[in-house]
Amino acid sequence: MSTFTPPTFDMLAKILEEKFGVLRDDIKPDTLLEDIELDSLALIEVALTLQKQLGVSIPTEDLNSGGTVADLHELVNTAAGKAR
Amino acid sequence: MRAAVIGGIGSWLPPGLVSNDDLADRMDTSDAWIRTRTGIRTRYFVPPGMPTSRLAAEAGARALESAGTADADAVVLATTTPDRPCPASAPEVARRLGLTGVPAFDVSAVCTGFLYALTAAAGMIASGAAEQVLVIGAEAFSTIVDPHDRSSAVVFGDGAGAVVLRAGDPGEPGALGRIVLGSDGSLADLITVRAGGSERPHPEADPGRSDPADRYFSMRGREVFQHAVTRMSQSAREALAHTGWRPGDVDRLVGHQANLRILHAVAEQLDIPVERLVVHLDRVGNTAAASIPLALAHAHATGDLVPGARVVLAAFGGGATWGATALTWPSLKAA
Repeated sequence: MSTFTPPTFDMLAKILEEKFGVLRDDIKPDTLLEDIELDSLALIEVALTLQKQLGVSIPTEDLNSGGTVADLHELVNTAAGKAR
Repeated sequence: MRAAVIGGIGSWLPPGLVSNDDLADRMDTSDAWIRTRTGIRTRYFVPPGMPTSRLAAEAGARALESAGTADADAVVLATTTPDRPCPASAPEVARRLGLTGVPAFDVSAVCTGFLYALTAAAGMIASGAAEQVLVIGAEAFSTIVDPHDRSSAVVFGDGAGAVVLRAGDPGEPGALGRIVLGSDGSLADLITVRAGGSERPHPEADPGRSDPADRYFSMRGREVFQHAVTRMSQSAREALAHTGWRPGDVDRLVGHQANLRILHAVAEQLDIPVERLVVHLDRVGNTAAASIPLALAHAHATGDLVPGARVVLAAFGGGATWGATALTWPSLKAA
């Protein structure tokens, strides 16, 4: 049986807060990534951090900085799910 | 068994210092953008006509001086930017150093080139073919970057670093541990100069088929970022496993100086505090095959790297290629 747990929204929010200095109150599902000044490399950095925490490989081809925090959450969850 | 031991180190930068503001004067970029995206503040560009062999010879002479010798049994040059497509530049480097006659050859593995060159040199020492080998990483990278491509032109710089490897004992400081290397040809398009080789001749020689921009270097930055972090941390872990050290035992992590954010991400993957990173790219940019020996020489000269320090070297580059090794830093004379 797999012990895989999908990255929760809080897990993602914690990374954005601790690694990128985004204020917790600014991290809502509909927050635009560009509004919290996450550039395209930051998305890769988030994925790499989650990759280490979850112990799975997360392909990042589909990540882009045009969406919202919820979009990022979904993409990472899907990618992590496929990588199981 | 004989080990290859670092017995001398030296480096050289060409005279043309270029700041981020200088670049902002000639293209749409800014000091803040370059610093936050890359960590780079300055870099050096060769003046027109200064070939890689000159940089290599200057660094090589300093490494030989640091080793207290004028002799080497072979010269191995890691470079992406040889003086000419043919022949190799290492024989000219040997000539410039008064070493005409010794075996001399180039190694092409882009930003992993120095680790590949160390492997070749260490093999010559292990087999008894040489007692002492001069290993140089040198680049005139500005000569292959499109000066108006703001993604690449702000990142790369020119320079050279070198070490003298000598035959010694595996237990002594400076002895290279197992050098872990790898490659993946399916990633060739990530980091490339498309034209000028046998697959696609030079654009001027092949009008209509090649784009003039193909003569310049191109890189898919985001993909490189992820592969670089993953491969550098994996190979560092393997190199550490061969020495029996844990990541927490590492005093200095000397990663290929591509991008400060890549170095931080590698440290995070390895659970090594970022304070233990050797950072040199802020001064010289990404110097490809020259970056690791340049960073080592600078850290050695400034006292950031002290004798007895447990050091890990890790790189990722075009090919794709990657590698890592670990060693205890020796006591060396500054050149």
